[in-house]
Amino acid sequence: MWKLTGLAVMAVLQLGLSSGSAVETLTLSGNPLSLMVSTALAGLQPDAVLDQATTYDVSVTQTSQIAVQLTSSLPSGLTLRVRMDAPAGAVSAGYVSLTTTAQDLVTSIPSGSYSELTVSYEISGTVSASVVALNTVDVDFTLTAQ
Amino acid sequence: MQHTMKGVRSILPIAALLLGLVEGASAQTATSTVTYEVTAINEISLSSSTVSLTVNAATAGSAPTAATVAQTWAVTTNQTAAKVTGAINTAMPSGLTLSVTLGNPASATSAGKKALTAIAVDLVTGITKLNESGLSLDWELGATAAAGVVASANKTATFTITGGI
Repeated sequence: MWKLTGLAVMAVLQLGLSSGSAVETLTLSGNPLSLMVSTALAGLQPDAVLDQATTYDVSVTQTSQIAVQLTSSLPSGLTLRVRMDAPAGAVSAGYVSLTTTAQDLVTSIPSGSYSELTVSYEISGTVSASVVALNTVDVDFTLTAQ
Repeated sequence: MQHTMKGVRSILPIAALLLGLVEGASAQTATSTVTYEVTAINEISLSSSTVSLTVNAATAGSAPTAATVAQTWAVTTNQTAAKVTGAINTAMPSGLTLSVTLGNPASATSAGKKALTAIAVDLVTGITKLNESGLSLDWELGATAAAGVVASANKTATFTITGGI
């Protein structure tokens, strides 16, 4: 009986060690360039500013999704939108206006590795935002199984 | 039987611990830092860059009839208490007066009809954080009889928006 028990323990240990853990990675190429709202056509709201200089790499072993949120709110009158190009087979939500609440940005990412996909940042401000001194805000991109 | 039960009891906690260790991948977060700012923005524009005014009529016994042209202007400012001033590059000939009236955007104040000279004069004040278009801009050329006949000539009128705070 003890021999049988010992075998059972070994089997459980072997199952645990060989299951492996899913390796999911999300990497950004860097931060966007500084976004400065500084122009307008007379009669219209200030011009939005767009940056598409950064990319992301993602590697997943199961269907996954990326959500996005700000870590703190922007000043009143300012809106930051982000868009991630979708990997093949995935779905991009297009431009998403960021808040401190997580929102889906890319969904249905199939298992695989994908690289150098464009991340677009757009900032816009209304005239009511007034002058805003140079500042920063962090944007969290979270990869999870879907 | 008792030995078997003890063996089973010792296997179960180990199995539970291993299951916990190999359970699914956790979320992974990447963070970018976005640098941003908004500078002072003050812009005005006119619906037309050229205006033609001709004084060519009068009611007998009265000064020549003033010539008028209506156009519009537009403005955007993200500051408080911006203003618009106007001036012409050189003085009008004697007896001629070139005037302009700018309609005011919301909550701003128009100075009404103002004669333009080489010295800038306030036309609209108190313009605060707004963007509006289609605002009225009325030109008027007045002439006295003493001005005589004046050959066609050009003046450059400059409208300037000065930011507030």
